Amino acid sequence: MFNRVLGIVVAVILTAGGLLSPLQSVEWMWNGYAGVNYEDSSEAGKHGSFDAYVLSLSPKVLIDEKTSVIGQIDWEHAPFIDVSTNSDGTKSLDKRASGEITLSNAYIQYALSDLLKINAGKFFVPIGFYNQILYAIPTYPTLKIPAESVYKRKGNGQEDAVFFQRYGMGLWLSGNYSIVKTKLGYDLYLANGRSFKYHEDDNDNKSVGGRVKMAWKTFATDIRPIVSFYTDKYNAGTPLLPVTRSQRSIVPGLEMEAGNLLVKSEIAASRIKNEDGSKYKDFSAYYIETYYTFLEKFTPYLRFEAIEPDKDVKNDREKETTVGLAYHLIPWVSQIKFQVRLHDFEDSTKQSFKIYGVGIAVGF
Amino acid sequence: MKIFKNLLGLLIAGVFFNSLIIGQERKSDTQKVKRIVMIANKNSVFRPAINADEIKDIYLGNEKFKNKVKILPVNRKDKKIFDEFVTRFLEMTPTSYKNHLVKTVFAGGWSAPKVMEKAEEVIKFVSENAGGMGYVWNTELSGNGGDIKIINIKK
Repeated sequence: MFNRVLGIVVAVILTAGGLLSPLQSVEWMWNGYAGVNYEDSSEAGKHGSFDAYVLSLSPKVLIDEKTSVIGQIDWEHAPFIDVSTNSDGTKSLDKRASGEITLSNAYIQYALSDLLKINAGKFFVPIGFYNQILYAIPTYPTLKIPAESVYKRKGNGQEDAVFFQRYGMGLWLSGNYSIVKTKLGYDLYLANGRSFKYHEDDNDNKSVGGRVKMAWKTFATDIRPIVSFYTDKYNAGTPLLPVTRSQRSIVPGLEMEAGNLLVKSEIAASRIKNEDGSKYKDFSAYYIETYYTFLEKFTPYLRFEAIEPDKDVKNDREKETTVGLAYHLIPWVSQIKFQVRLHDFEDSTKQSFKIYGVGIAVGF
Repeated sequence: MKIFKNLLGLLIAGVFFNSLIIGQERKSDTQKVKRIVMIANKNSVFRPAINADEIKDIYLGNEKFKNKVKILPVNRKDKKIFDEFVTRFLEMTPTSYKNHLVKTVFAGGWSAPKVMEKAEEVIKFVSENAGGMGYVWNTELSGNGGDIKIINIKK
């Protein structure tokens, strides 16, 4: 399914670039960002390490005033791909292969009006403040988004402590409306449900998600409340022993901006149910962060985040405090960031640790 | 002694005439108070008077087309005019505006406004593009004719 959609999108991009150009005015835009980090953890067994965190390229093809094609390819941790030959002569991915390459966005947008834009393809799901700018590191002062709480992700899509699927493959409607000094916006999407296999839709169900957002100016403060939601039914077992569960998440949040001061917070609450409707697990997380930019060069920041992985299990909470400073070489385009993360466990048998980090982020 | 008197007379006369010249300069300064003027292509779809909210929508990337014509806003590299434009017309701080721009570009599929150094460049660009829009000081307009029109902003 993924390959099929990828093929269609590539064909559309090639068609747009190769065939439509001579016939009509097609505009290409390229953007991207890159970031390199160095982090050193006090956690036992860990050592300081450089990380070519991400290189993202994002082409946008404006076919006409209503139609565009949007893409984004992310190379995480400097991917290395090699193929080795097995004993039976077949070939498979070499075990030294590392890193990730993800086609994060590959969708076609048709804008009927400001009130209704129809998007189809693969996309970062429009949930919360951060999911769509996950890798857009120059847009925020921290090294990463709140990845230890609301945007936490485990190794695969089946893990429970994930509040929503990061990517969606399907249909997404969005729109905006302005009234007096207030802006209203919505996103609603229908996508393939979580799959047991990567990049293959083996789920009969679909996931539904979206958000409602508002922005209004009062006195000298911009206030932006947001509510996101997500629901999905998926296989949490194995292909041979399928276990169907369903998940519902709600993520309210608020952002306030007064001059160069910004305060932002989101809370995520999720419930997973068994097939018979009984509760399997409740879990939640939140973060609150603030930053202030002075002299257009310095942005000190502070973030506190916490996660409750299972409300019925005691002593399993984790919390993290991040303190840092971003120095803008070019305001919100290229920055050098310094930070320390203090990770703490409710379980006293686990050792808290610190992660010192420095990174550079560049947008282009 | 006579030389001293002549020198003193010359000095007093010099100070007097100098003060007159300075006075004239100050007067002309006050007559030509710098203010920002919004300009658009002469044949563009923009009316001669548009709402302040529309300027905001254009410069924040919310309004990208006008009657099927792509809007091409221009920002200035000069910090003084840029800061005043952002503060007065967009009601934001330059820092928060720049942050908003990159978020819109990276998450919204929009190309940020071009940035130009000189008023002549802005006027030339606006003259040559039907969707062009920019801002200059009123003092930069004189002698810089082009196919442009001044846009009045309704609050």
